[in-house]
Amino acid sequence: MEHRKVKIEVINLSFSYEEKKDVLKDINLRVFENERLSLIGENGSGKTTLLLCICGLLKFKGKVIIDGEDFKESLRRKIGFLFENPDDSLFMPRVYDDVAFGPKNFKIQGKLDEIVKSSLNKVGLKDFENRVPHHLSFGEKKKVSLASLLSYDPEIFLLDEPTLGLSPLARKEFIKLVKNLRGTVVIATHDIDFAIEISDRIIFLNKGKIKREYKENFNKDEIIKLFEENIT
Amino acid sequence: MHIPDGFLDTKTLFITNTVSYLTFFYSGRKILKKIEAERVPILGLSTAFIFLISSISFPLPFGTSIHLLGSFFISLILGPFSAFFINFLSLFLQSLLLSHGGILTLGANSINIAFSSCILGFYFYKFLIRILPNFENFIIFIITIFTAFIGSFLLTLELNFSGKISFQKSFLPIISFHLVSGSFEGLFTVFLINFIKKLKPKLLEVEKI
Amino acid sequence: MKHHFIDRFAYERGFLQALSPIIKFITLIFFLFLLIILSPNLYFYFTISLILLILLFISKIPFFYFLKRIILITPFLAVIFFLSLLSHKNLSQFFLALIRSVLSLFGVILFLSTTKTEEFIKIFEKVPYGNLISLIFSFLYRYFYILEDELQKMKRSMISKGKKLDFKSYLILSGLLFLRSYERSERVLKAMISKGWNIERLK
Repeated sequence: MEHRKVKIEVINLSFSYEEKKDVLKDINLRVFENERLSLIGENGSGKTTLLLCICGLLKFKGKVIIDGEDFKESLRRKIGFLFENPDDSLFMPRVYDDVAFGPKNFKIQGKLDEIVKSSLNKVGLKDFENRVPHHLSFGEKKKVSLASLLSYDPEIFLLDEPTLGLSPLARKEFIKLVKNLRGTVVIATHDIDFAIEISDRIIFLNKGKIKREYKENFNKDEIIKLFEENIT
Repeated sequence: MHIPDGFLDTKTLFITNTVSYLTFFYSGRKILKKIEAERVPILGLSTAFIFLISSISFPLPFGTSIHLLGSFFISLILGPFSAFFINFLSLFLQSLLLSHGGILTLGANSINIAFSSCILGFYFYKFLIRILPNFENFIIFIITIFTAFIGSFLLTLELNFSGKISFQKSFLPIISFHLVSGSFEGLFTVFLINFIKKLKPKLLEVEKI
Repeated sequence: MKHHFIDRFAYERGFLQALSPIIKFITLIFFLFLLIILSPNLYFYFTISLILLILLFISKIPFFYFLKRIILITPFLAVIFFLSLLSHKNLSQFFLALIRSVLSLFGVILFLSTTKTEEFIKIFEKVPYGNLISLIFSFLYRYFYILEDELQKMKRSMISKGKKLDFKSYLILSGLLFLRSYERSERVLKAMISKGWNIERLK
């Protein structure tokens, strides 16, 4: 694996909120091109914060290097962030506007209508352009959120709790979509079955630190035991 | 109280709309000059918030009802011109969606409600808090009632100008009605400001534009 | 939760639905002006009402829905009626204004219920500060119902815990709602920025 190209490199990353100190402490992490990495850990272990830092949405200490470059605005085009709550990532009146939002901002080549159509087709929501997000089911909203990232074709996907709150059927469908993503995928999740099914590597975070790393041949019982050991 | 279309005559409409639209565009300029990305979604969500607040009405005796405005509260959080701007937009949508007020009377209604509580209210507050820094709650309460008073004064004046009612005979009932709703609004504003102070003091440090 | 959207008749295939929103809006404003400027004439009002009713019919808006919307204005009319009684004004003045007012509202209802919300929002992209205004309208449209749902959920949770709903609990609910809106606005901002939005797009 090590010979693969490093896509994301996190060096000595620390982060504190005003009201909470040391959410992340000295994180060092390399994510390789086309790798699927899952971050697991208790609530408040810093999974989501780490994703936000990689995406450049928080001001942190340390460094995040993407494709060999320090973070800068133009790198955003390479990153797609799927928020935990689709009501946060879908903020426009119509599905069309939400899916077209990224391509418009990044000035993506091609006809906007076609981009939107094909992105929605990719997540299996044909002819959803004129629907109102409020009237969609939770699973459909999640899929539209994913389509709104696919529309600008990012190379890195950061997925925050992608399976949370989905019905068993919607979960199955969504996992299939995640499996089909082309590019580097970093997932923060509580869903261990999902993490085991999808990941090349699983990282266990505890209190802002990387505690354990698993590569292939994951054992669910072992992971759950790890959670039990680290309860505070 | 919102004036529906049809109750103001041409000259009153002309004056009120001129004043109000000029204030609106001045506010827009002021906001855009200093705006930062953080402010955009909070402007949107605050508009949704005051729209929701004003769509909930409480029954009063004699078949009347009141609803809160949230205007002064928003101006304490976001500043006078941002508050006027979104309150104007919210009043516009209220006239369309809830039939609270009319389209051409938007000028008059936004002066009575948004201008008096957002802009006048904010500067009165600034002035008084400097003199009496230890009586914040009292000042907020008094100003809310005072702006309700100004609003109802202007309302009576506009309807009087348009020849619909006589000022002397209607002033008292209009004022008393608005003092009741103003006191509820005052309680609302005082409570919310303290609530935020306790739970999210950071919100009170948002730049006032 | 299910909501009745204001533009639910805008998807029907009717006469007004087929017209361009901007033309409808300008016509509406022009119509409202006409009502105020023209000297009162009952025949004129009668003709106008007839035309509006025909428009209502060929735009497939249920008459009952229209009535429900018109009734919303009655409290305001009642107050002004009471005030003009107090003022010993000639009541014909009041009834004239009442006719104008109802006809104006009629026009508004026709415009609004035949225009899709996103088309309505687009109208305002062209006015000064249009980018900001249409963005605010978009947020309002998107999050109003979500805030309302949140309010209902919190209300139910309060009731289920045995709390009586009075003005105080209403205040607490509003406070929580505002905090939640603020927190949501922070998350929405992150989502917007991650999709390449920046403040320059407003200017």
